[in-house]
Amino acid sequence: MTMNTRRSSLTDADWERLSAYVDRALPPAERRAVEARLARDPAWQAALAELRALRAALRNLPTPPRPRSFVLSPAAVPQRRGWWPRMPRAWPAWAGAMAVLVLALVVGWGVWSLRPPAGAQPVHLEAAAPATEAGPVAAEQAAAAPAPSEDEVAGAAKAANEAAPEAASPFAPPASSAVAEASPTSSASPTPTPTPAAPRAPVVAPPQRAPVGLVALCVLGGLLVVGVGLWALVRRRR
Amino acid sequence: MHDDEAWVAAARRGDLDAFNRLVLRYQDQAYRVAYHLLGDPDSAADATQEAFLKAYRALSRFRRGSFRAWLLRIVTNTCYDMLRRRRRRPQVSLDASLEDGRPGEASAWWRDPNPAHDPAHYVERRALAAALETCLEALPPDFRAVAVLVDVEGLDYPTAGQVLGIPVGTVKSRLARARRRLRDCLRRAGWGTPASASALKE
Repeated sequence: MTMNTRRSSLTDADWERLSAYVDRALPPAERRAVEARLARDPAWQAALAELRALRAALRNLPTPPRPRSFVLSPAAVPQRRGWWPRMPRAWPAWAGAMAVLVLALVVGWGVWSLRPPAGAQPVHLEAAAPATEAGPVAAEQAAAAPAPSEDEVAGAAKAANEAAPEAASPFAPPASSAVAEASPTSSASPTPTPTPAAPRAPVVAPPQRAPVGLVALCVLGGLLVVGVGLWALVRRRR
Repeated sequence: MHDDEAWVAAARRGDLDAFNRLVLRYQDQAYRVAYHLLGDPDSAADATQEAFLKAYRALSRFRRGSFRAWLLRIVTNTCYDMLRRRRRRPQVSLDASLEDGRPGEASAWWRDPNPAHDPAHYVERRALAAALETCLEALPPDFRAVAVLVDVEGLDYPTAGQVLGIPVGTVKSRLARARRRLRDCLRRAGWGTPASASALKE
């Protein structure tokens, strides 16, 4: 009866083995050894009872009811990265559709304006009418640039770029847009206008000038849209 | 859970509804774990919400395996962070918050799963639960986490090891030590006699 005198004297290793036995986490050989020991050792039996009771009590430990749902609302979900706003999944598709639309417009405009001008004189005047609205802006920028020489396109663009902040100071547009607006004017200037003193007059622009500028603007806009779309796509993939 | 994988895949493509299905599935367990690790309902709710947000943001880093284990790992880590912050700011100490809210809450939230129990048994179980919670809170966080995951939540050793990032052997030894400490703590609180040990059983 020496065994019985070892009450409550399980070693740490014994306790650990018994603890794993309660969880049925012992390999078969070890489990059989534990069962053999349990059969003859009251200290082990008492420890087993304690372990089982403790486990059951923990398993039944009450938890207060969940105070709310933790479902994430779209507003609570943070933007994926930095300042870039959350885009719908199909955003690149929308950008592509818009680019196609712009391209179709440009092509349509080009085809339409390249028709033989035989009986289409009034239509041409109508086409020139919106151009007069766009005209003063370009004309003023051209006027702000000091004496645009006709062969130096790059020089004119650069000058317009420098003049842009004074010309439209309150809005302070980005420099790139100033270049984009200046370049069609400067590229168009060599062809139809022989006199550099003329650009102030917004009355009737030469018929070819406005469509070419607008087409160039549209192309640039289309490229911009496509570029932004691609950029967003690349960002998303990363 | 096979659904988990499909929902995780959809959620990773940005489908918030799919992620919320996972939230609905696991929010009870996540909250229970947080509650027993932190010991008060408000912190547990905060930790659970934070953990789900973190999980959503980190979803691209989840590769294979059990989503539940991955999620519970985020929950336990969030709770560890909160415990650390608490320790750094003693004015909002654990004891203070417990003294504020514990007795009232205990009576408010205790709900016997079986109303047919006789009142004496009810009271006894309630007292035992309170003693157990006190003892759980006295454990070091590492031991408490193992006891909560395996004993309270019923996870097996490998899953608990996954959640805690420790090998199964460590789960086994840490759990045994946690149980021994809990037993000693209960004994000191007067629950160690053979009679009350049998009361513990039911």
